[in-house]
Amino acid sequence: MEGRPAATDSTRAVGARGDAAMGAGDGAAPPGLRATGVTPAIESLNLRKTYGQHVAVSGLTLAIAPGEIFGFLGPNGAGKSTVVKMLLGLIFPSGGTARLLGRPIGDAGVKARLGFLPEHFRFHEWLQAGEFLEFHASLYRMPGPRRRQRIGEVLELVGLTSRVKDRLHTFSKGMLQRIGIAQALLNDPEIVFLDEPTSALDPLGRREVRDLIRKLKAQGKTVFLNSHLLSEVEMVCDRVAILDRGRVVRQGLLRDLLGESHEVELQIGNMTPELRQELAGRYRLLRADGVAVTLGVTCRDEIPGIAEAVIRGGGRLYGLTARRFSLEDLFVAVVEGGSER
Amino acid sequence: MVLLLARFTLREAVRKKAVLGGVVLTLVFLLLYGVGTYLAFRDIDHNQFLSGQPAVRRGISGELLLAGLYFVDFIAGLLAIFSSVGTISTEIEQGTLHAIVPKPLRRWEVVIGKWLGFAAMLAIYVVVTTLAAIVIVYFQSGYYPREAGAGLGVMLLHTLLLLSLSMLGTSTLSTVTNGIIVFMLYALALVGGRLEQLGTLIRNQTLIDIGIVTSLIIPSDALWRLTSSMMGAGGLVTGGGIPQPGMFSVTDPPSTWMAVYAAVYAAVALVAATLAFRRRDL
Repeated sequence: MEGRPAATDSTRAVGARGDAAMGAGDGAAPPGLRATGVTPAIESLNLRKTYGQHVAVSGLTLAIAPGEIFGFLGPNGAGKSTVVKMLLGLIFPSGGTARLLGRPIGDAGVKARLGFLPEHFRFHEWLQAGEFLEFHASLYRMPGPRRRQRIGEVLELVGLTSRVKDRLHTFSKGMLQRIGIAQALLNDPEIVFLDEPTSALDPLGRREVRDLIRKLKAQGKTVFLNSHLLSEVEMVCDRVAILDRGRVVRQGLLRDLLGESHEVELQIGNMTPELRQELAGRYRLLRADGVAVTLGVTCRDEIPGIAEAVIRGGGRLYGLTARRFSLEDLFVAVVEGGSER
Repeated sequence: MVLLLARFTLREAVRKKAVLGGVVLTLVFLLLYGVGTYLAFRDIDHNQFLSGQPAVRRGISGELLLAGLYFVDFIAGLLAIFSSVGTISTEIEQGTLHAIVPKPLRRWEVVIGKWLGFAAMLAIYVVVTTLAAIVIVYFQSGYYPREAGAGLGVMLLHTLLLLSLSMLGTSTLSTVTNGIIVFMLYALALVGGRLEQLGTLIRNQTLIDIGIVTSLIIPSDALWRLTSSMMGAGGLVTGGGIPQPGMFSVTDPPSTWMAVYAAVYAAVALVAATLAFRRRDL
């Protein structure tokens, strides 16, 4: 994997080891931070889940540093929620191991330090919002005064203070998602698992959740973010893994994965077969349709050379548009089996 | 944690309209039962033949009490099944448990907490309605069951047995499958119990054996027959002075060991429920 960073801090170290494990494929040595003296917030080694012949998750090896915002991506049915459920003890792995905060999954002491927003955020809707949070705070065994204080704080955080007496069945989907986020943060958790936390929110709500995630990072929390919304992930995550058909197909620091790669779209007159061959030989030819040619470059500094090559080859350059690769481009390329960038 | 979950389950059950409906219908039943027994005893007291025979009057009183208790026992059984049939499986299907199980609690606490919540609700129902039926009959006829406390205990055991069985089903199966299986077992017990009584009456050992095997598979009707022997007056007394089994009384009740067997059965079902839920993917 290009651009692998030096292991100068814990996050980078995790990224590097995670990449190494990925590069080796399933069954690779576990990534981890123990060599650097840092206990990973989340780590798994060859985690597997099968249902009969169907492999839902295949040999997942991850290590996520404390304080990291980790984006877990994948198409529908890739196994993302299965992984989250295994890490939270909702379903049991068919093989492999996982640890949270250095302890095996299911450890009661660790569970007190986790927060979780489930994907479908279905709650007991006969409860009032305040009763709902009271119940969940009690599950954390929080003493009364602390419970009341935290309920007030999280309601304020998700903007539902005025709805404390309303029953959940009167809430919109977006409000249910907000109250779900509130229950996930009641215990001031060290690791927060958010499974599609913005799926029911409007653009303003999404921005609030992004800000909230950044705030959690500033507080040193680890956030495990499952999401389809790649632009959201791109805006907040330090590192991502892309899961496809139960296997991690790409993993790394976001800045390394996206790098400086650009897509350059050209409008060329007088295009000759020789010129096309010349461009395809020097750059990655992504698309060619009449006078429109799209090339991929790994570095912004390559862009002037493209213009020079067109002119030197006798072409007439009518337009040149450069666009940085987005996470969505990477996701589509990886999931659709696109070529390596 | 168990008590927290029990309180939560109790609150949820009480807020459900099905339970509320059951309570309202039971109140209606008790009202009709009170009026019905009042009119029945007024007629008995005006009947020259019946009013002069205390044994006959006592037999009728016992039979009328058993009619009320049969209703209570039957409805409590239905409530036990239908209130708990999906308490875990439906919460898995809907995903409401997904926000609870990752919290710092153990899975067995979820099962036991829910069981305790339902058990408290059902116990209140059984005790209140049973005492109401006893009081109604007592004030009309002066009849009081010989073993009221033990009978009430067996009725509670019957309800908790069905609750434990339903908890085992909801911890392992889908809601619909559990509902069908537990209700079928309940019905099987009723039919098996009737066959055993018929076998006793006509001295047919095959029918008696069928009843015994059925009671071992699901001892719910056996518990009712034990209740009946404790709460009833030993049958109806006819002109010859020999007690005959009425519609709700039994002539050959099961041994009290059947209550012990049922208690062990319920405990095993509950432990099995916790073990099954401990390894279930949610």
